[in-house]
Amino acid sequence: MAQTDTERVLDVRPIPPREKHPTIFATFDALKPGEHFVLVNDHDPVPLKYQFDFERPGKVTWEYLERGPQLWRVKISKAGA
Amino acid sequence: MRLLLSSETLPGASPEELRQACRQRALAGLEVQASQIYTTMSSDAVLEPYAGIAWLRLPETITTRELALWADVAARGGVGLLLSKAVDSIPEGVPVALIHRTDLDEAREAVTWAKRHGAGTCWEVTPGDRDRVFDETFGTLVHVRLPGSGPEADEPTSAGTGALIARLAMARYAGTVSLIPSAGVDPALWRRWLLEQRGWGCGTAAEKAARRSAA
Repeated sequence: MAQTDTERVLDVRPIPPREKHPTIFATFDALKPGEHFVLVNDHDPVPLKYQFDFERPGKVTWEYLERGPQLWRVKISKAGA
Repeated sequence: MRLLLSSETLPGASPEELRQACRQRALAGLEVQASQIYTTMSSDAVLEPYAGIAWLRLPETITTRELALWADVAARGGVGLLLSKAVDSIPEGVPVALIHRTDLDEAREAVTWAKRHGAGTCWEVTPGDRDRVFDETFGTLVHVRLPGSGPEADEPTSAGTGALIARLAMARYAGTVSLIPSAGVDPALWRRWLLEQRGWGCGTAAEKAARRSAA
């Protein structure tokens, strides 16, 4: 039986850089309002936050769960309807 | 989802080198080829140097006796066994998964075998219809062997990695994914990348570079 988690965890480290942001935005767009995923990265993805604020204004909440030094975990939620 | 490192990325590496590579890249543990472990130690201690090992990958050809011996080692070390070929009966007390590639027939056979034996499946990602194989196998999937990451980010083998990782995330996959080298990739590439200080690569930087080259 497949092992499943309560969280959707998107670890973007193994994803080639050119695919990272499209993958993250596609994952966000697939969420229903009120849902979230946890982004895992090897550096602070703050430029991504600015991109979210610009491209999905008012739809994203951004909560750091871990801030380095090796891993950053960010809970990215889609605003409720 | 937990990211692991396959020992195939560092052929001939010592257990300490493998551990160092895991630490360097903040990986959760190891998948080790049984053929890399040569020891005369007692089965209690065989895997001790490989702290953090999650899976032991067995060779394609293995006798029933060898399988029982490795199962004893794995059980004592608290790790699982990856089988390259189906066997008639599996050992008790140890997680077992059968490897298949991105081939629908092969995947279906692995799922059937896994269900019959109460085991799992391990998907070795190769070119093919990933979506259909995902749909077919997710119910038994416990481990993924993923080529094309890390130093292979610019290689054709890396294409589609994002879509696969996203599907695993959306399905709330909580199993393991090990980074493996693609066939034919220079081992020195992985060695340098695993032991150097640089990061994995930034999506923002990649987008800026793409815009510059398009201008």
